[in-house]
Amino acid sequence: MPPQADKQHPTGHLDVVRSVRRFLTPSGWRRVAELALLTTREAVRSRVLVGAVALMVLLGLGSLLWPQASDAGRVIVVQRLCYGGLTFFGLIVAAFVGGSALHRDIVTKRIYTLATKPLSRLEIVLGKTAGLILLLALFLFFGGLITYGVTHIANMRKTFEGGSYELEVIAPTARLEPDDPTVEEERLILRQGQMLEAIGKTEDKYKARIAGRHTELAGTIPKDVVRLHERTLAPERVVGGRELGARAQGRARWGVGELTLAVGELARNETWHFDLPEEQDRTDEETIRTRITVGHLRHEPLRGVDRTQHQPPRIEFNFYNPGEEDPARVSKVVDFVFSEQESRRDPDEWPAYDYYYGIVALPRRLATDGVLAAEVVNVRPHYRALGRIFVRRGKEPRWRAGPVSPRALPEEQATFRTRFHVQARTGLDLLDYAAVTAIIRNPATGEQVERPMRLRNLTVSYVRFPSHLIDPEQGVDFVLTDIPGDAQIGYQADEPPIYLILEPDQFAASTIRSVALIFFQLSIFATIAVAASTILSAPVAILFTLVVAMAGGIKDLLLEEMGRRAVPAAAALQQMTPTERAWHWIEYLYQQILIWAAPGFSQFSSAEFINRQWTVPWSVLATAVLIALGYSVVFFAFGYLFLSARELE
Amino acid sequence: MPEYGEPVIETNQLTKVYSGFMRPEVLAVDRLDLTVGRGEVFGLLGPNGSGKTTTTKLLLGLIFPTSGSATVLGKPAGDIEVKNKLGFLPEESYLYRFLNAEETLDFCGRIFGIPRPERKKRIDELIELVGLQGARKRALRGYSKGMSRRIGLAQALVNDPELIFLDEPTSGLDPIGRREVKQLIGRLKDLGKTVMLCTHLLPDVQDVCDRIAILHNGRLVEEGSLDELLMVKNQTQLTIDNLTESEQKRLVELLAEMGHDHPDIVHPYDTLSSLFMRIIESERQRDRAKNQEEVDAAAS
Repeated sequence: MPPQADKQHPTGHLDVVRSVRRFLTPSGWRRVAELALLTTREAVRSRVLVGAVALMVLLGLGSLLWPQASDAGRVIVVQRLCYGGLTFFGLIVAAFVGGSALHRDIVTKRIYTLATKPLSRLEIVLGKTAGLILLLALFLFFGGLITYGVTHIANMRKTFEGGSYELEVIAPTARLEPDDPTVEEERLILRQGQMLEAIGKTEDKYKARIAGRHTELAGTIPKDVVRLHERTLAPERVVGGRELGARAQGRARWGVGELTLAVGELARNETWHFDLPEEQDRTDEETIRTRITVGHLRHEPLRGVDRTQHQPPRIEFNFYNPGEEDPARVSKVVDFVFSEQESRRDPDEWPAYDYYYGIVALPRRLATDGVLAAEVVNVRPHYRALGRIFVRRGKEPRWRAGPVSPRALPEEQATFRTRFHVQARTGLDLLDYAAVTAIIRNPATGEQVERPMRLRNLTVSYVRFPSHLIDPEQGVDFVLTDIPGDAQIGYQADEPPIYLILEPDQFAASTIRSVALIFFQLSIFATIAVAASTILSAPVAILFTLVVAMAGGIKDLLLEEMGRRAVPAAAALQQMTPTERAWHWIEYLYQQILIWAAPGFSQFSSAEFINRQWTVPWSVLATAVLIALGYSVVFFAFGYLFLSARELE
Repeated sequence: MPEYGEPVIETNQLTKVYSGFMRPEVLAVDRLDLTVGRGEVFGLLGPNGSGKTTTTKLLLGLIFPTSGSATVLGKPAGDIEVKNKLGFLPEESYLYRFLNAEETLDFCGRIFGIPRPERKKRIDELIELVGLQGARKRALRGYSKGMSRRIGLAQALVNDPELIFLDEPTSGLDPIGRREVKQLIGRLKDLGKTVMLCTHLLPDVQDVCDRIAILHNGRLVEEGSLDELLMVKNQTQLTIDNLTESEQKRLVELLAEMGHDHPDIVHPYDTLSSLFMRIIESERQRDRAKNQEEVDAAAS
């Protein structure tokens, strides 16, 4: 009969506080670093890194041979294949090296070399994990270089000549009837409330898609635009007023560029006309309660925000009396409420858009001569107000929509300003700037001024339009020239009504940030694999890591599926038998736990940015860092606990 | 009462029972009370499965006792800080296959926080000590078993430890290597180090140990100094060089007069190990002389 365990004696070495304190000394960091370097060196010498990089080279070269639909698509395909390869091969490396990291040491008793040295078990787990992450960083470094190189080659294979791109913004002109689409040669006129995204262009072809629907159309510009125009134009959405035109002219270097034209969005100084006869007898202090419906409010949640949680949009308006010389503005913040009844959503037409409405009380004195002016000042993050604002009173809807900027023509000496947003830029040197010249021209007189500007990466620049150049009938021509070949410039007038990427960048920044996203994701897998290897045998730990990775990839699907199974109404619950009700709640709780516990890795995908040839925003990177840290800390803690309790026989 | 210096290892009713899911319970160490003094070469003997290695692992904190306790250098067994003063050569040398000897020792030295100049010097000394000068840059996966033991021994000494656990240190070594290891243990003892030797090769123990403990089925069955345990106290042995036959007769007569009839008078036998060493050493000397002759001839 073996003796009973002595309760006074520890059966393990779980001394978290002491281990952490010991690790947090300079010598602790040094020991972990040494073990990390050893782990990396072992893996490198066993040709893991060379093998993975060789596969990336093959994949990169293979991606160049991938059949492409267009020049524009080539770069996207190459990038997506390469990033997919980086993620997949990185996952394999993380799972196989991490999954066997500690288990193999324990089975071969190599762990004795470490555990009999002044290394705590916390430092062992940390060192192994850090070593694997370092290995993955090396892989991503070389893989990233390959991706960059291959993308560069793909980009060089474009068939276009370089050149400037011309964008014309037409000032408020005539009011067009709803059924009077106007198409001119090489000029696209879109009605308010419409949005067109066009991707890809050659000298004679134009590929376009309806926003949010990814329906590509090809053909010459006028023809396709007409077709698109007709398809999307609905009479009730054309409310008169003024319009915004955009003209895309040739010789544009348009490899993977993207043109988004949104017309009729919320712009400053939006005005609405009110009929106020019945209000005549009221005092100025009274208020008008009016209902505002914002059309085409696009919900763009940041990734990582639970889709199931609906956050109503918030918009701030400044209302003022346009009849006053120096009108005082009254600011109103309106939380819009989604209304099924009010929804004008038409899946065929505007799948990405929902309608919201809000009610705001306005001081009556703001409206004189039946005109009330309003400007949209602020839109809650995650939303882009791209549509119209409708104001209606009482039961009778009175649709009014105003023009978009620039529309108010100030005094002769006044200037109007708009701004440009440099979207991204090539090169590793982020301190470079793009020297651009803005040419502002009066199309009627031909008079023009040139404004040289220096645009830094991710900065907003403004240019002032002398008011005498703005022709009341034809508006103003605005041309950006001297755009360097490595610049990528977006034009924003308020909320981006016209969004024109003139030139894809050379993908350096895009590659670095996309690879960084993959790195954070692989760091999680590395931690999971090492933690699993502290308690599971190598094959099981590898399998576990792969399963977690795959499950994380489908979490969004899981969420959508779960989201459909809402709790039934109280009446339905009451009709259930107690057993059915209990079973229902168990199932519901289980679903909630799954939703909560299942890791989600969609935040680490750069696919949506690659498709648009945008650089991954810093906010997405920051979110990825936080998520990676959270998962890593949890799995690392498990790994440490398991190894601390484990006997190294 | 056994005599030893300041205790560096003490166990008190140390017990280890291996158990687990779907695994029969095995009593590996049974209420072991053991004390090892500073500066001793202590032999832990026993047949296979007697609990020697388990005891060593318990003292190193690799596994945890079921009951009882153990202290090493005044701290509970497994204490991290104490490991700065320990050296351990496991039964087989489990090292990183893709590192070479230098890198292995360098890694160990770095873990102990030995400054770079001192570490470099120490690595050179140890590689020379274990006779791996010719293979210092070769990856360990290309090492023979004997070479692996040597590098294992070197890594156990990289931190100039106060207490060294050697588990079957001579296993896999040729007689020359075994002699060198035994000489090394002697040198360590001269330097005041404490050595705990786990082995079932009794000649090794007899050559180097001060005290021994014999384990059987996890229990301590004998403990004491080697002299004390091995001495046949009621017999005396004389060793005389070149005793003639007549002198031998006179000696027998003298002993008979003293009342000691029928003494055993025999020629002592050398051990095979000594014979092997003598022959190899003589061959080496001859090789060296021959080489020298060739060098001289070439020079002239």
